[in-house]
Amino acid sequence: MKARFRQSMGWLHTWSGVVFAWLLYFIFVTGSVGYFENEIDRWMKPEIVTSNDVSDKQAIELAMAQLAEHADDASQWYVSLPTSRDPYIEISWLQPGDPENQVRRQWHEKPLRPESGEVLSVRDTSGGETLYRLHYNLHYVPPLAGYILTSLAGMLMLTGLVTGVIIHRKIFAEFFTFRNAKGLRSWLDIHNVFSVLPLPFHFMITYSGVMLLMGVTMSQVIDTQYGEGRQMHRQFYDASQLEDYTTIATEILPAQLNVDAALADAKQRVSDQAVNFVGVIDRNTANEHIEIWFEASEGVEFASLLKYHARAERVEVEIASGKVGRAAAIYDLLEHLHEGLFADIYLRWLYFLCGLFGAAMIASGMIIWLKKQMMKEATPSMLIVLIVRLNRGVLLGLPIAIGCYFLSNRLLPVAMSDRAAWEMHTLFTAILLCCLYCLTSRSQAQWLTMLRCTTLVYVLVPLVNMLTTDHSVINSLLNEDWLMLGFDLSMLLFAGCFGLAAAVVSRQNASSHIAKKEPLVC
Amino acid sequence: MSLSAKPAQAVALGWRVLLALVGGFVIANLAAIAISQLLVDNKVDGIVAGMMWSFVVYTFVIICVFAVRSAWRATILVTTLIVLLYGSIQLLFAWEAV
Repeated sequence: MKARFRQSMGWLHTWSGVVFAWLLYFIFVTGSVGYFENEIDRWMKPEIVTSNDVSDKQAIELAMAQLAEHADDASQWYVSLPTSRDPYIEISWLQPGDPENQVRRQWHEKPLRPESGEVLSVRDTSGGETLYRLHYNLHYVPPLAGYILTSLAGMLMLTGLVTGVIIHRKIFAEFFTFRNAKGLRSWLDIHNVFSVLPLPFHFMITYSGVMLLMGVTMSQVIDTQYGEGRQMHRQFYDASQLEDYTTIATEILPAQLNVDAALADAKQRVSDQAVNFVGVIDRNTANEHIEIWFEASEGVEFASLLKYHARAERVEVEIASGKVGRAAAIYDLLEHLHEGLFADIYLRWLYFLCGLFGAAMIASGMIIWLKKQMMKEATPSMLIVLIVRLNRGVLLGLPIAIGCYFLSNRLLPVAMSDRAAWEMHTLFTAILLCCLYCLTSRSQAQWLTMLRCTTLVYVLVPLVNMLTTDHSVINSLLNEDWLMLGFDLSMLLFAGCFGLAAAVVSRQNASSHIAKKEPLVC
Repeated sequence: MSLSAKPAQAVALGWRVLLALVGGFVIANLAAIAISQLLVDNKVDGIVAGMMWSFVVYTFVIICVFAVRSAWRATILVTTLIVLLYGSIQLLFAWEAV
């Protein structure tokens, strides 16, 4: 094929990127948004009443009363205590299935009013969770197909990253190079900046992403080495996740074991962290025990978990001290790095930015490839024109669609049936419409129109929030509702960025019209 | 290589893509099994380690298939790797049984 190694690596770099470029862009953007899952959730459930000054004891008392009333037959209870990322009390329980009365076995989550403890009725929403899950389940396809497609895209991304490093001899020098307004050269420079600057992040996120789905993609290995079938795979998973435990006898007598006693004991043992969840597990069985989870913000190691079991003489506490297997421990570390649950607000933004850099790396790579294709021939082929147009539709259609997803949360009638599903349909309809616009419009300034449209959508989000709820920016500030305020301000920040981009493109369009220069983007 | 390559070149290219994706996947699986058989002290953890390494192997194979000079060499490379890995798995398996 290619006589020279670097050239064939260049070819591989191009094609491993281009083939799944739009899917990878989609994965990077929706995955990055996922770092703010809890914050998005809070915004999409405006009925939640936040409170930072309920004591843990009070919160537990309110929550236990509600759980006893609503979920007496549930085997598992959890109480989520107010923390900085979720400043409200929430109860959740595992509803046992009852096929006779057509009750499905499922988890229920209900936020509580902090003063009285009553269950708040919250609008039906897909929330932050469905949004971030898009980046590996792709929503409309069967989960298995979604996992396999994203894994394949991830493998090509990994190939693209390695070959990208191979073909760049002066990788470090190029990282400081940016030649402005030089057409293709500038795009190559910006592609290098987006790729090289967060290169460790790109490698980490791509490899760990592929790794997280290995139970699906490499399932033959489990089949041949452990056992076939759903049950054996489940058993394998449990065995591989086995943790080392230290068991300590406490001062609590078995008869005294309740959530309050366990909480008080746990707080003495882990004094420097806030409690995140309290759980009552396997209720009304011989194995009934209490779990106390601490906040995950104290290092890459996941939240510390303490389990309280009533034994013959004393209550014993089990403290998890990491995975038994060494490979499992590394798997754990990579999983936590990928999910970034340990990250505080600053690191979380860095995660988000790195993810967007990844999306920008793919977008700029795609633009470079298209520009080269356009340059090859005087009149580009139909196929290339089609890809150029769809590329515009996807690259800016996705941010527009996510904005529309947020808007739909406020604008769809609260009593609508399948409301949560329609929020998702809104997102995908918006992408589709953007693609249709780019395919059919004869306008020479599609980028500009789309950028202006994106700006408008993100300005509308806080505005519509203000008009449809009583959570205006001012109110959020007065109520110290930092998540709501932060979300609205972030939307305005994005609007500002897209507006700025629109201004740049608009100026460039004007000057290239006069000087007959090539347009900024294609 | 461009979209408008000659038919023979296109076939060679398509073959390489197939070798990289399918051959690479087979090799990744075999490598994972071989690694899990090497780490006998904790079987389950060995399988986890094998599966984790498999993606590194996969990437390496994809790159090698395109790095070698001809599609013919790529075929030899992939076949050799499959035979070697399969052979060592059988050996390890026999050794384990003894």
